[in-house]
Amino acid sequence: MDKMKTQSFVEKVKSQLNKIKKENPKINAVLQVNKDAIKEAEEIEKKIKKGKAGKLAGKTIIVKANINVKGMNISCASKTLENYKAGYDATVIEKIKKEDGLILGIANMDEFACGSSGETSAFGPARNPVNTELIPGGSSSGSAVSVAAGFCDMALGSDTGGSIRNPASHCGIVGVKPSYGLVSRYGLIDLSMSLDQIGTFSGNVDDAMLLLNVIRGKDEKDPTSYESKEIKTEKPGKIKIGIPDIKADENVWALVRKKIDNIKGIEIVKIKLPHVELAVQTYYPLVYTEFFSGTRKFDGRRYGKKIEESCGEEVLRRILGGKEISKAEYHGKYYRKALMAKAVIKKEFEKAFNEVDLIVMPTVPRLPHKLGEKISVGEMYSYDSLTIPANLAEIPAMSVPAGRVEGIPAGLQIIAPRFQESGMFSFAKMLEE
Amino acid sequence: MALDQEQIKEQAKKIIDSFASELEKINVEEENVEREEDRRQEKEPVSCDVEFRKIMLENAPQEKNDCIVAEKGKWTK
Repeated sequence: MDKMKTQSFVEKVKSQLNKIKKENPKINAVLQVNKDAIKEAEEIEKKIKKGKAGKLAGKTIIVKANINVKGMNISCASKTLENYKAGYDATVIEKIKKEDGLILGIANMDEFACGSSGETSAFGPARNPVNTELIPGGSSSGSAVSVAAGFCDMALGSDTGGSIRNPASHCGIVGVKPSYGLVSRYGLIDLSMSLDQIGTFSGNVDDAMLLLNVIRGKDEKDPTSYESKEIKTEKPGKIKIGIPDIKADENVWALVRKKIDNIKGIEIVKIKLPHVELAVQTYYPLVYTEFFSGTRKFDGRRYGKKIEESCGEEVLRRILGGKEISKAEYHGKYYRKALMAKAVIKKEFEKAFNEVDLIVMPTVPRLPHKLGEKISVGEMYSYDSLTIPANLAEIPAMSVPAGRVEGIPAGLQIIAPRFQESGMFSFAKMLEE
Repeated sequence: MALDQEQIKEQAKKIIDSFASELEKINVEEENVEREEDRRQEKEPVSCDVEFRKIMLENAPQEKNDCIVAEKGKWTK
């Protein structure tokens, strides 16, 4: 619970709503505000005063527009679902509400999570609050911008190939992608069901851990979810950190090295992950195919518009690409081959974790480009080349601020073995301190 | 501006073909996984939320007598 000595929770909510009203037109992070927020804050404050409030009492949360929040417009930042109102709460939202977290609004994003820059939103791109000429990263662009701009305490996003860690890195905040199966995906409008995970954004490591502990756990409505232990930070003994030999902007690498070189009591060793270079090539056939399959429900008959007639270019590219793969798949050339490559990458990480406790590298291989600047599809896809591997290996990874290159934030990525979020957070806490 | 579906399809095909050719170098035995644990067990019947029905009918393009009207044959044209 927040220790608010001078400001009540209701006052804090009012102040954040005012900030959104004043600053959101410039950075376009929030698509919809919860009109009952003040009323709900008053109820939570009563519970706080009685000492009966939940673990998230005093915290405000903004949710990516692909996670169902009952009664809110869950548009996936697309014209396809422009007027779609969620009929139920996703499991993560039920858990947040049960612990008295306040949902403050719905965040902008890349359309149907198809993008790495935030620019594919049908409602205009969110802007990086550090420098509004730059992209904030994506696809959970509005969630990251909302936290970085101080609109809320925490935010939810989804991460299929880096969609939480990439914007967290560009906006200078903490972003966590949990192990596949740690958090229920029930109520998430999927991009690629075998890779998607819901995760957190926050200004610090403790808030990330608090929110992740609330939303984790097995859910009967998501058969891929698992029981898990409470995530805790502890003073670790000697930690062995693996640094892979991978390409990234040299200034970003220098920040990452400087940050970990300052930590006492760790051993740093070089490791090799040769197949990680094929991560992008492995990821997109999987995403195209699963996205094509997942979007067949958007036929305009029960809700929304037919997706092929109302979506933007990147969404259409993935649908048509997925359709082509599905038609040709009897050869096993695309999807099956990509699944095989995924298994190889997963094994490569398992082998690496026999030698080291954690792996550290830059979150994004380059600095963000200017909004509207023309870059090729290949360049756009390579933004996620360092974040995709953790999704393919189903392991947890998080981005913490490493510092700035000429005023632009860059993130350091910590990768841990599957379901060993506690070790990952313990090291993140050491870096933060 | 209307999107050129043919052009985008060609571009997508080119991308997946180039990715597939790079994945050709991977050659491993496939493994099957049989899950003995963590299977779904529905102990309680799923409860019905009346508000869900109301909201989804509001979302529907056409509604009649508490049912969604999906225009017959529209998607075949």
